[in-house]
Amino acid sequence: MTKFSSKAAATEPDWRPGKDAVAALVAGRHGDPFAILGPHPCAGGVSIRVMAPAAETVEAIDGQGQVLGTLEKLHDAGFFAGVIDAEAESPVYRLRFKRGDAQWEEDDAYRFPLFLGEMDVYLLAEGTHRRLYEKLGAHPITLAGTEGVVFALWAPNAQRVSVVGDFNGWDGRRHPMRKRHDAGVWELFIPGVHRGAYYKYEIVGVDGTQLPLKSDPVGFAAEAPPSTASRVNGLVAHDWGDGDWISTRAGLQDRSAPISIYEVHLGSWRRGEGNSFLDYDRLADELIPYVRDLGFTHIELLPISEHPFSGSWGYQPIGLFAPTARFGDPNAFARFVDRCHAAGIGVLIDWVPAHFPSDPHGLVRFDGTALYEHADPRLGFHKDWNTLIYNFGRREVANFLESNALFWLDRYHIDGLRVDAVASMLYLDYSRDPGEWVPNVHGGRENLEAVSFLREMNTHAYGDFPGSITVAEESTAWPGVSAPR
Amino acid sequence: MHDTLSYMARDPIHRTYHHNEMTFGLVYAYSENFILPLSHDEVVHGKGSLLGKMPGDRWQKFANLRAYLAFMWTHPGKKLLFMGGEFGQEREWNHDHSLDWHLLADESHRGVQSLVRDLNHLYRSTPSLHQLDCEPEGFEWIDGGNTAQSLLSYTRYGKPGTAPAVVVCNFTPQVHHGFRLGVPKGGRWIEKLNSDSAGYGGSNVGNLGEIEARKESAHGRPFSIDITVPPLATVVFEHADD
Repeated sequence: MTKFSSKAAATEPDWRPGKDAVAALVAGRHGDPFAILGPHPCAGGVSIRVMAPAAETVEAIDGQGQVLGTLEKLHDAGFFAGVIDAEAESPVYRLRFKRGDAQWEEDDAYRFPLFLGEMDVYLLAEGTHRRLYEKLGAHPITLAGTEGVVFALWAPNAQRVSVVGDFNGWDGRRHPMRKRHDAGVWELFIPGVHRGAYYKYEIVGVDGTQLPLKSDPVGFAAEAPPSTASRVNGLVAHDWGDGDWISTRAGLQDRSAPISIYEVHLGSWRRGEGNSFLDYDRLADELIPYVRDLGFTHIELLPISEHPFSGSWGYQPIGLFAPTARFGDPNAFARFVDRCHAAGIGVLIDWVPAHFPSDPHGLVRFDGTALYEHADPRLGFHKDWNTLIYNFGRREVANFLESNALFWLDRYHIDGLRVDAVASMLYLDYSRDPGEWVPNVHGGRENLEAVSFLREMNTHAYGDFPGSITVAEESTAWPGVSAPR
Repeated sequence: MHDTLSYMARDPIHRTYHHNEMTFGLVYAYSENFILPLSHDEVVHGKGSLLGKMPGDRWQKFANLRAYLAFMWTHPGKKLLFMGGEFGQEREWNHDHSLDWHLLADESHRGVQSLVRDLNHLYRSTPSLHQLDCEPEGFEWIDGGNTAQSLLSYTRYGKPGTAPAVVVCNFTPQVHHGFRLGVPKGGRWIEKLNSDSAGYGGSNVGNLGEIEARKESAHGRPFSIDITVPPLATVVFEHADD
């Protein structure tokens, strides 16, 4: 049966991975799943390794359902492996699972190539990937002819990261991700996952402790609160009809133009039957004619990003890239904005880059370290609001926030951002007593990193989205905060 | 706008001692792309509604709110109003309930809403009220120091060639007949908006549409108009002969 000489066979790797590696994998402690799972050339063909806790038997099959090989259960936790006769490079096969009378088939996530290109990894590491939402998050794509979803997440200090969701029984052993070491980004293409699927990330932190499940920091849709999963959506795909508005808005939003803004909290402007929320479409039906009739030029929405606690009115967001699911899905929000523009009304959103709440499913100690927040509580904890302050000096964090600002202008055609709590960002001693804050490099009270972040954000917002505006909440005596660099 | 709301919350009798709360805003109006916010921050955490902050009996509360809204809409800076303020929501905002739309069955609330509609229209259609919103050249006091009568008067200018507007705000219930107001130009001045008009629920004290300026100086201006200043109200005139 062997096609190799005995000498060659002696140097070919064994079809079985090492016992220690398997033990680490089934314990959810292995940091490099592609080293074990999926196809691996070996003596006699290609070794296929699969983690399938729910299955009694696993077969590798071809496109017609013909069995290529039956895998052997090598570990009671559900680790299988076996050899098939196939091309060593990119073998094509599917998996058939059986348990009692039940039988199901899946493609193997571990036979697919990398998604992130070298340039993406480079820019993510450098903190200059201004459109990082095109790569991070969950994107439905077709890879090597197969439909599925690619997941990508920044978690540089994690020992292991898995995608868990309703497509894998929320089992962290099923879909551990591959780490791109240069950027600290983990990625995995999972074939057969569809738009609308619910998911989170299961992360083993730097010290080996498994963290509470995390929702996706770059998730584009969220499960309706009080639930906290992310949902697969991809970038919103709306057929925009507001080209005229976008091309003329610079004049309408100039400092010499009349701007009269109606500030709205969508959850309490008007309610429906039984005190229910109006959805984005009904809000468009009722709010737009009202705002037009009263002669306002703009509406400004209290923060629209997903937030677990309604009582924060949106000012404690988790899910900066997802319009809140309280009123509908991302496409519905895009329709809402488009209809405002069709009626000649600009849309501003209140944007919260200053801080975030400490809910366990959020950004707090995201990979087991203070990643998004500053590790020193004198810089990273806001005692007024019990929230965590972003580490604006960390390039990946500043990039994440700046990219989020651009995301709303880019993908939802928002006309401007009102930056919340700017004073708390600008001053290191904001609401702090002596001894509770740390001066800047010059010994002063100005948060130079936050200033630099805001200026950078303004520069790119104005530069990349002509006619858009940014507005700072009262910034006390700091001129030029709302101007580009 | 926080200082100005503190002023408005005071009884008109005491406003004379706090005049600077209304004039301080101009000190920092031009350093940024400036927006005057009557935001949600003013109507939460026990601060009550805009209407609820206003002193006096029911009529005076509404008159104060109208005078104040018209002051804001004619003050330099872009405008921002939190929902509910446009019809005089009475209860403090509650994020878990609808605004109190049933209030619009009452004509006083409808009057505030009509005023806001007209203010937006006036602001958008009157160059002097918006073109130089963010430049010092767009605003000039006629009399910012009339603490005794709690009156404010100012001129708004647009770009060269546009008609100026003059504004008088009266923050007491005292009506002033034959009040001489210095204006920058001769000719006709049209009363464009009066927050005391009956249509808004006011007492309908006003100037019958327009006034011809006389070549008699007042407030350091070469011309003046003799006007009736309604109680707890703001009146806006635009020059007609440009």
